[in-house]
Amino acid sequence: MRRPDAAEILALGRITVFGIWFHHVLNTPFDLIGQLPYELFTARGALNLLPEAFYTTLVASPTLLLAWKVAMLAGCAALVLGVRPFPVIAVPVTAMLLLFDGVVKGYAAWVNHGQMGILFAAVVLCFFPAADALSVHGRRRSGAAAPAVYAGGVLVVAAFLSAAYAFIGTHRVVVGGAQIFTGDAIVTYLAVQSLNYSARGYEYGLLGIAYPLVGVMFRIGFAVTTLFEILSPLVLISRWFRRVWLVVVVPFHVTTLYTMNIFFWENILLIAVFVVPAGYLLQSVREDEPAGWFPLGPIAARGTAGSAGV
Amino acid sequence: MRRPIHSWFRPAPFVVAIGVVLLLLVVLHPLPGRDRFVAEATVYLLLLLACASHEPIRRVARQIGVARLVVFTLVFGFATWVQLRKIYGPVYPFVSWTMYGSKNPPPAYVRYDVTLASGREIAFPLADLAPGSSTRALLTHFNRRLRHLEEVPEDPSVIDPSLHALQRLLIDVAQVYNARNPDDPIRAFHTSGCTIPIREYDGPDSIQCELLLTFAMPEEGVR
Repeated sequence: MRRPDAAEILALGRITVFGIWFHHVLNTPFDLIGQLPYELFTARGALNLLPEAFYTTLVASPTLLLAWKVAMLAGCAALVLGVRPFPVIAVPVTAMLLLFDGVVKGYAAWVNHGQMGILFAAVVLCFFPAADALSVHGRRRSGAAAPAVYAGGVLVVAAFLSAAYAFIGTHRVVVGGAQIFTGDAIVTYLAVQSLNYSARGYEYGLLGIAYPLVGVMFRIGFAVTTLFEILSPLVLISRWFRRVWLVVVVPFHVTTLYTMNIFFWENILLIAVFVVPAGYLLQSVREDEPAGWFPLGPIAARGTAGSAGV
Repeated sequence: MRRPIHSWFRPAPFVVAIGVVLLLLVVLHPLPGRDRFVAEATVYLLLLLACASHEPIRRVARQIGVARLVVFTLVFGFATWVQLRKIYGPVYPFVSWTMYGSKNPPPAYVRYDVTLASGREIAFPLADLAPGSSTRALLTHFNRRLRHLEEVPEDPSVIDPSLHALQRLLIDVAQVYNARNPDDPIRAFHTSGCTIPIREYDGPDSIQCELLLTFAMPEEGVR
């Protein structure tokens, strides 16, 4: 079977990212935005570029909210289908999605990190020819970009994702040191998040305080996960590390669902379509180079001889 | 034949250096604030160098075009700065990533229970009221207003003045719920502060909850 090329992988990323946004917009009760007390809302950061009157008018008008929702759904559908010219559609739709995310998060007491991955992925895709393949117009033949450009789009999104993981893990070690892993931090977090209100209602996080051995396992898992979070950017340069990283990080996301009632399923999809193929794509645009002295060097060099090294 | 100088610029030494820095961070902890900043920045710099020294990445970077390269270098740089400075709201959509970074998180949570017209007692169903997926971030609005309470009230039905803002907000949000669920609306609130005995946990009954606030919803139109 033919392996997908760089343009097809970037296009699959486009379908995934805007498909997820379509799902979110479709399932968000926009009428609720207009009903909640406005005092809960805070326009943060870039959203302050718009006057407050804009938000008060928007949330007070069911017609405007509905029009906004329909425009985003139509835009996301067009982007999933790969309608061209891509940037002409992607830029305004992504701007609307940024506003949507900002308004929804504006009703939260703090900036929730959920959907940050797909938000940045959407922004990155605007800068790349992501609709040159898997499009209703068919494959772009004339004027197609170099493979490195398509690979670049996948690489930048993968880099953003891996940087976010590295930020979380590094901050944790710098602030908490060894104590955060040897003390009660993780079993406390899991217990509190199991009992805190959640529609999901999983309470497996309590196992860490109910059974000491499980608590030890949670502490070890916390330390291992943090280490892999810190080293996440290395998924871009080492195939073996990426494989081990996937074995750690994907189950970690599933575990947080049952122990903390937190599930970043969007991240798992982003990992599948951007991180997994990133090394393969990098290999496709590289040239021969001499082997280095450290394991990561020779592994990378072997990739040029046929077996994927990155 | 001599190797070109760039052929020596490889990821491996930087990966080794990352390991050394992480080891030092764990061993030398706790670090003062300024040293934390330097230590964190060092890890990010080493990760960047490890990736940037990987020839396939450099090759892609050279070919994606100057404009894209400049834009994403600036974006990555700013994101890293936001992370190092621990900035949250003001630079949205950029934000610091600091989840689960406290070594002594409080083993406490707040329960917002409600009594429905049918007599059923349930947790305040915020999942039906949060416009996005961030139900707990909505919950935090209530918790912040609860922080003004200095001690557990002797009579939770006598509303402490510091909790008027919380009571008003709960009523406002509950009215949204009632408008959407006229068949079985919320009739009363019961807010409790709970502490989990992490070391002596012995089932749900060992969790200590104290009633902080209880009140009936005002009649329709009466506020």
